[in-house]
Order: sequence, then C-alpha cells, then structure tokens
Amino acid sequence: MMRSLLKRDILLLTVRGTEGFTIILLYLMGVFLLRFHDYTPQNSVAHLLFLLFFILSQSLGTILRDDYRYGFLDMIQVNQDGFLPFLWSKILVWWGFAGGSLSLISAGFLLSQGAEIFYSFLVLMLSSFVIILVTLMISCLVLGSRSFKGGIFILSMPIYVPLFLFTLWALDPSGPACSRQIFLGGLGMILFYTPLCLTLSNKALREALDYK
Amino acid sequence: MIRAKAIFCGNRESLSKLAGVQISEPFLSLNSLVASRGLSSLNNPISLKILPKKIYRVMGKNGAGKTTLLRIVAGLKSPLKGTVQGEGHFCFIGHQDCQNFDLTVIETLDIWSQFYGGGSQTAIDVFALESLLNHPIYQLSQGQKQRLALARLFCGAFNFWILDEPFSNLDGVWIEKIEQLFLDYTRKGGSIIFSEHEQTARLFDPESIVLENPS
Amino acid sequence: MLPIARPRYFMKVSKTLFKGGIVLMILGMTLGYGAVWFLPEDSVQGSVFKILYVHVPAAWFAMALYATLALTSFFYLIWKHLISFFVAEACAWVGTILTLICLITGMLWGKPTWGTWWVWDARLTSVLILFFLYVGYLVLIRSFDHWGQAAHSGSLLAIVGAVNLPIIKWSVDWWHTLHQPASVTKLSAPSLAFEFLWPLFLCALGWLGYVILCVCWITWTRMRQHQILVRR
Repeated sequence: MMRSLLKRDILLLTVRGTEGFTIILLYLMGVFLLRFHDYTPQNSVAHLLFLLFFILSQSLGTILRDDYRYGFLDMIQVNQDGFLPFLWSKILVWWGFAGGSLSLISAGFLLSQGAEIFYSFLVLMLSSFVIILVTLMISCLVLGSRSFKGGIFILSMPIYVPLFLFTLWALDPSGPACSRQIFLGGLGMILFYTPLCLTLSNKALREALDYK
Repeated sequence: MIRAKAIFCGNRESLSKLAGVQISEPFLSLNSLVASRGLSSLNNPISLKILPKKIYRVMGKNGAGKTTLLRIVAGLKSPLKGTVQGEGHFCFIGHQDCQNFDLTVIETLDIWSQFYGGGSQTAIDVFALESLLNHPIYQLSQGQKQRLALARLFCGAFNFWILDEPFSNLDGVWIEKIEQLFLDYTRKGGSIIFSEHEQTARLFDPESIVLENPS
Repeated sequence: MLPIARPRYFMKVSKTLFKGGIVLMILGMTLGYGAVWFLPEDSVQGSVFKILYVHVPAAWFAMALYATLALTSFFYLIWKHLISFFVAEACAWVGTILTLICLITGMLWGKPTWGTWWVWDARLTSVLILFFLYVGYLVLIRSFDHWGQAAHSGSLLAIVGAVNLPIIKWSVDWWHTLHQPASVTKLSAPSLAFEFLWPLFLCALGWLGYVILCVCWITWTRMRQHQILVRR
C-alpha cells in the first residue's frame, strides 16, 4: 500500500507533472542572479538560504490541493487509519527529488565560496527536510480555503526562523563550527519539527475533509 | 418508500469475507442523523439499518443532502447529531473520481489495485477499458471517466459500496451492465447504497430513502 | 466547559470588564501621559526618549495578547466553544495593531538616537516575527468560508506559533550573542530611575484599559454577526 502511494507521488512529481522541474529551474535562475549580480560575500549564504526557503515553500504550497480536489484524500480516509503513510510518502518523495536537487545546486554555489561540499550538502538536506515538513503542515491547514497562493510563505516564515538561524550558523564560511554541536542542533531540529508537523497535519486533514 | 427505521441494538463484529458467509447482522446502522454542509442540510433525522445483500437508494433533488448523507455513511463527515455504528471495508466513490488528470489509465488502475490489494485485470475486463489503457485521463470523455471511477470497485474486496450518482454520464448500455453488476454483487453478500436524482425503474428493487429539500 | 464560555455569563463578565476598561483607560492615559509631558528631558536623547512611553506598553501588550491568543485557541480546540475563537480573533486584531505601533515607534525612536531605522537585532527581529505571526493568523482566519474550519485551522496555527515563539526568541538571542553586530549600539532600554518608571506603569494601565475595550468590542461584534446573544 505504501508502494502505491510512493509510486503515485514519484510519477506525479517527475514524469507526469511539471512542478518538480519548475522548482529546479526557478532556483537555478535565482542562484545565477545571486552569483553574478553584485552582492556582498558576507550576506550570500543568508540570501541563498532565504531563496531556498522561499522557492520551496511557494512551490510546495499546493502540494495537497489536487489530492483534496480529486478525492484522493477521501479514499485514504475511508480505507486507512490516519494519514501518516500518505504524509510520509509525500515527504520522502519531495525531499528526495526537490530537496536533493536544490541542495546539490546550493552546495555547488557554496563551493565557490570555499565551503566543503559534502558537509554543506548534508546541512542543506536537513533544512530542506524540515522545510518540506513545515510546508506540508501549512498546506494541510489551508486546505479547503479560498485560493491561497501568495500567503503560504507569510504563514510559514515565522515557523522557519529557528531552522534558518541554525542553517546559517552551520554554513557560516568564516567561523569554524564544532561538528558535534551542529549534529546535536540538527537532531534537535528534527525532533522538534517532525512530531509537531505530523500530528498537526493529521488533525488538519481530518477536519478539512469534514467540511468538504 | 421506506423512511425512518428501527433502532440499533446489540453488538456487531466486523465482517471480512464476502462469499459463502451467512450474514444476518446489519453492516451499519445510522441513528438519527442530522447534518449540514454549505447550503444543503439534513434536517429530518434519519435512522437506517443497512443489511447485507440489499441495495439502498437515496433520492432527493439537488441540495437535499444526498452527498452529505453518503459522506457521513462513509465516515468522511461527522454528523451534527446522531451516530453511525458498525464497520467494514467500504468503497466510497463520490463525485470526484480519484483520478489525477496527468496519469494514464493503466497507472491509475495499478495504483488503486496496489492500494487495495486486489488486481486490476478484473476491473479492465468488466468495464472494457482495454482500449483506453495508455491514454492520460485528460483525454477521456466524461462517460469513460465514470467507467474508470467505477472500476475502482473491482480493485479490491469490499463489503459495502457507497456510490454517489453512479449512473450519471453513462449511456443506456452501460447503465444496464452496471445494474447487473449490482445484482451480482449483492448475491455474493455485499450491500450497496447509492444516490440518484429521480426515481428510475431499475433491474433491482432498492429500498429508497427520500430526502426532502429544506424549504 | 468553563462557566465563562456560556454566552450570558460571558456577557455579564465582559460588560463589567468593559466598564472597568473605560475607567482604567481614561485615568491611566490622562495621568500617565500628563506626567510624561512634565518629565525633564534626557541629557543625551532630548525629548525623543518620551516615545518610550508608547513603545514599551505596546510591546508588553503585543506579547501578552499573543499568549492570550494561544490560550483561547487551545480552549477552542479542547471545548469547541465559539466564544473562545472570537476572543482569539479579537486578540489577533488588537495585537497586530499594537505590534505595528511598537515597530513604528521603535523606528521613529531609533533614527534620531542611533542613526538607523532598522538593524537585525534579536529583539527587533523577534518583534517582526511576532508581527508576521499575527498577520498570518488573520489571513488564515479570513480565507475560509465556514467559521468552524477557520476556527480549527486558526487554532492549530496559533498553537504552532506559540510553541515556536519562545524558541525564536531564544535562538535569535543566542544567534546575536554569537555574532555581535559590527557597530556597538546600546539597544536595550536603559534601566530607568523611579521618577521615570511610575508614569510608565500608569501608561501601561491606560493601555490595558484600551486593550480590554477593543477585545470586548470586537468579540461582541463577532457574536452579533453569528447571532449569539448580544444585548447592549
């Protein structure tokens, strides 16, 4: 059953839909502008992270809209106990594809700043995981509302702040950061965001279907 | 026309097998349901016992609350008052077809059968979808989409079918075939509850629940 | 369900609060700001520092209203009582205005004193984030057709924000102790002598009266819209 959900999400994201490639293209354009436009090297990491957060949360804002509209969520609710497998399938597929590619691009950008590519890649994968979790939660909260295209980022921005600061600190090219602290901080991020986002998404989805 | 029926009493266990099981206890029991959704609402409390091997038809004009009632039966909506008791493995086919427009027919069927644990071949044979297998769904006509939506019924083993206006968009030939399918299914032990606008003569003889429009 | 949740009891309590709020506001504001008018000027900053008497109470109540918002949202999630949701929405409206006042007066104070409108400091950033939390809550509430769904989603968002707000404050503080800003600026309020402190408390009482007034009035408006008993 999980296989069917994963297969569906992978198909929709890569082969049959355009969302995945649009995200990558937009992000590449943003990174190019950042690299070749006049900027101060001190702020480049912060700008890059802001761009990453913005593009991922804007593009993922409608992640659940089709599922809601075409009754797929109804099917899951009727035949399954809770939405967790469905949510996990979405998270894993989007993290693997969108998060992975955007982290690669960002790590490449940071390479030109003199950072270690593998280490930056790991930190960015962590932050894209959390971004996807939070965006999924916000999408569940706005399901069933009138069209909400622009506001997803405003809603989710305050929730990202600890993650943003943590990633900025971990990727800071000037200051040497202790890797054990970063590991603990990353673990703390995951332990904080994952249960919060998953429980609230579950609750919000059930209520959204109630009012359909 | 049969309206408010008996009260539920006693325990019931969930059923898992269809054929060959003598089922005497009701699948599901609805007690005094009152609900509302948007402009339509169920104002008169509805009580119903859903028994196996029977077909029920919910009738009413637009806005009378048919979809609301079916969604409550499926467990997707909680009623304002009243309870729904019982369990089982349902298949709910509502107005939305669970079909994502970008996928092809065969991909959709594979996903459904993997989800429910059945096979897609029966569905393809019964609904004659062979010729459509590699077409993406946005290329299908409304009637073909309706057939595909109903094909989900054969992607797994269900105790109970809940169908919202299953005969819409279908031509006469297919309507007869589906009525025959209903009869075969109930002979095997399942039940069906479906909704309709107006009363049409059917091959089977359903028990009707009529919803009045709140005026 | 708490007794305050029943409409008649709530109306009794809120009418008393409303009258108390009027009295508190008039007394507090006139006495407090009257006293401020007669205060001597500061040696360094001149008269500009008196904007503190608007800025600080606004900041206090912005934070307190967010705590109230989170608390009433929590009550809504548990007891599904609509009046909690109305109070939450009222707190959100008043809180947005107060946070905006806090930010604007802060900028007006900062320009003559420190030469800049804005700096990415711990305190300023967290107040800005609070502003976005309020605005996000209001946008979410207004975007649903059915009040039940709006209330549920809004309450969940308020709780997420409430859990996150202490973490934001803590992490932004920690971030800025790690990375000292380049220019040395005295951004925390100087410890005030008592003669400057008591007008602050009077002004704060006046603002408390005003906040109670606004929250009651907005809650009553919502109750009237939903035809829950309101008799003025």
